Amino acid sequence: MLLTTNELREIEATLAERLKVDYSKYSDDFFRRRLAYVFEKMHFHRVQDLYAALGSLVSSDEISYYLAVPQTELFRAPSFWRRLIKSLADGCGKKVWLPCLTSYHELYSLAVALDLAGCDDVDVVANVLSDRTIAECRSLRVSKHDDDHNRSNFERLESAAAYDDYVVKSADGLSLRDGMLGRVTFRNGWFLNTPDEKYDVVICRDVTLAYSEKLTRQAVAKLVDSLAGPEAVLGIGVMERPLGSEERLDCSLSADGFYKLIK
Amino acid sequence: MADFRAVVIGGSAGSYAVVSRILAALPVDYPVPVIVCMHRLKHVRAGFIEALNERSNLNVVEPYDKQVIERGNVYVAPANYHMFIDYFGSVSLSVEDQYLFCRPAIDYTLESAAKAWRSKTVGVILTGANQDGAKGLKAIADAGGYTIVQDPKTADVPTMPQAALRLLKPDAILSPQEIITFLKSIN
Repeated sequence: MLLTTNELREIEATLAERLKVDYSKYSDDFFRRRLAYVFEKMHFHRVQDLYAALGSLVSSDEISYYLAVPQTELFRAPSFWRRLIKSLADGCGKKVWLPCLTSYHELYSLAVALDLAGCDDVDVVANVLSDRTIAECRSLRVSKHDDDHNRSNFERLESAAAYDDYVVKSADGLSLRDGMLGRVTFRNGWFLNTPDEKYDVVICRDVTLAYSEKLTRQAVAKLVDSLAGPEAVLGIGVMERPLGSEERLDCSLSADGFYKLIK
Repeated sequence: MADFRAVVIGGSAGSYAVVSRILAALPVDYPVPVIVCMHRLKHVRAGFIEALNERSNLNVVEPYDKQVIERGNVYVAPANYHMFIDYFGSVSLSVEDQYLFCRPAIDYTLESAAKAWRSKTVGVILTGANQDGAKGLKAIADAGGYTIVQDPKTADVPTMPQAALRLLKPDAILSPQEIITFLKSIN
């Protein structure tokens, strides 16, 4: 599917209006690839098919769902989770934000991390871009396809607990243990459009990979502004940098993707 | 030799040793950046780049997302990320789905390099156990770039070079030493 630049710009403008996400500030190359993926998944043959689908709430939600890049494994980059569990156990706070949750993986990994850290009174707010993502998260289902990776990653958390304590067999296959998402609130909407709030832990990994440099700087600034204080932690992907906000941050734990405000 | 802008190398099983030899042979003032995409274990981070740097005269890095590509450096795709080259000559990383069960995918790196640097790209496919990279090398060929396939007779695992040879007729089929000789001669 080859789109002209004009077609791409029109699509971006339409998506911004209907889905309330400014895809014009995403990386062009990424956005073209992802649109091709959407076309494939939703069996669109022409740009008009996309526009027609945007006329329906259900189809619009599907477009948002497929435009987002999901994580594909629990406990991706286990050293990040080991570091987070330690921070949580040391009492880094009571409010966690996942500004751009694209699949259940980060949420379930966080829920397990909270449990391993002995934190049963932490509130989690997760911004998502599609109702389908929320429904998948609430279902507690874990894909069997990822099971080997998930187990392997969990073992690298070096915890005394067992993977099977958290991912259990269910009638549908595999599930996150019941009751682990009791303090999670979902908010449907792009985090860059949301009012500013403060959090003790902000986890936003591998999200700005899709953004242009300009949007990345804007997003990072918002994430850093959301840190509640010098003990609050920001977690981004290990191959991402906090562009534009480096001077505000203590980067001593950046090898694991962690940053704190400079005191 | 023509005015190339980058050398892009892809490989899998057995390629670490070849890449290491190549990097040890290229001089410190090598005129173009070197991009390397090797299939690698996702959990092996520590030591991988350091070991390459031990032998390399160039600076070997796992690039951050949006890092600008510059001569004097070797950019190795990080474990568990796809590495694209964007139109402006920066690295663009991604966690999109695995491709042919691989992340990083060699095809993604080579195809994007072909779009970025077109006929100024040198593409090299080394030893490896699947066909990832064949389409990417063809993209470089179609863009007018120079294409090299490691001679399957010299490969630890000939599957990857053979897949490339089924898809295109490269400019050269070379042993590792011949690849080194060629790469040292460019620009």
